[in-house]
Amino acid sequence: MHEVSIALSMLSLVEDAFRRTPGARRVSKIRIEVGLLSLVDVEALRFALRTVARGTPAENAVIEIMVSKPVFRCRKCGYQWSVSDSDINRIAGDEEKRMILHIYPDVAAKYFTCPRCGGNSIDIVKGRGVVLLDVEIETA
Amino acid sequence: MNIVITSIGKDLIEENEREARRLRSIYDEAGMKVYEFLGGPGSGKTSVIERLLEFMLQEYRPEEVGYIGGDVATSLDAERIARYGVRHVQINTGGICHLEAHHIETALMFLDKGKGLKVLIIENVGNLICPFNFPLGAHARVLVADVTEGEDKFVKHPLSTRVSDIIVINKVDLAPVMGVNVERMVKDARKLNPKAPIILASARTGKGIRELYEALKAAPFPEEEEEEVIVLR
Repeated sequence: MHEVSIALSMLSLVEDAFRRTPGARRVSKIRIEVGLLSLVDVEALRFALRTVARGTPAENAVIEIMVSKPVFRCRKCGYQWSVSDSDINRIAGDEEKRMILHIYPDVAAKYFTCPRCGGNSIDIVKGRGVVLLDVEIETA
Repeated sequence: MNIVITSIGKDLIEENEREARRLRSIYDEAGMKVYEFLGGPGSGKTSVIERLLEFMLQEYRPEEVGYIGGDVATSLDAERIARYGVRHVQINTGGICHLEAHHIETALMFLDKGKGLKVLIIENVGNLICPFNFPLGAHARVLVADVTEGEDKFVKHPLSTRVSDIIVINKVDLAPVMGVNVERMVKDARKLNPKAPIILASARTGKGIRELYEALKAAPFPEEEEEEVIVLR
């Protein structure tokens, strides 16, 4: 249900943009990027945003949500890399570990070692965020 | 018809974390320690806080202790806390299942921005999931679970267990009646959270409350060590 709170914050940013746009008629598109490790459910977010946008200029906006892969950086050698879902499955192994990875993103780094130097002190550079990328506004 | 694309690029999760850091600096400026209590409905958060207040009030005057309670509806919790004479504010979220930074900021206005407070207790909405995504900048986050919620509480809520600074297992006096293996609960919690003190407590009998009070004094706790590595293969 935290998706509702995120949707409300997004809506207020969208409405700000709408107010600042001269001759704005309606919001036609909202583009969002959701990190794979963000703990946010994409469909719940879409539903929440649709619901909170009712009766606002964003009511009928197309909601485009992209899921972004996590990016890790090795603290030792600075190398950056991403992982695919299949890598996550391969590295994390069984179901339970995958679940922990999903529910507890901060632990994700600990499942991975740097592919270049083998270091295992890793930062999550990307993949935890929920970013409102941009809004498309129709004007007169 | 024209279309204007406005780039926003704002990360809402990062925003929450920034807000939490901002709250922390407000707490520090006011010179108060802030303890957040989290746990499912009925786990005994308010009762544990009541017993804790008995200890706190031996050290602090009532006006040096603050309480902010979050609930979807009613001011029942704040009324219970009011009996201790401490400064208190009840927030009704009106449906939102967790407290957010702006709730705390508003509540702080009713507490004179924390002026004169030494300790502030924040009791979050009874919920074991969402509040953990909305940090409030507290010096310690205390997870309250109880034996009647089921032995597998911690494994089912790995995130909550993991990010807590202190874990209280409440109502342990009921464990024999419930047929619950407390040892197993402790083991589960320890697996997910290697550092947090785990306190076996009973708000009813007073067991473990002094221990909790002592544990809170150690807050804020150092951040998790960077070099710690868990390899699961």
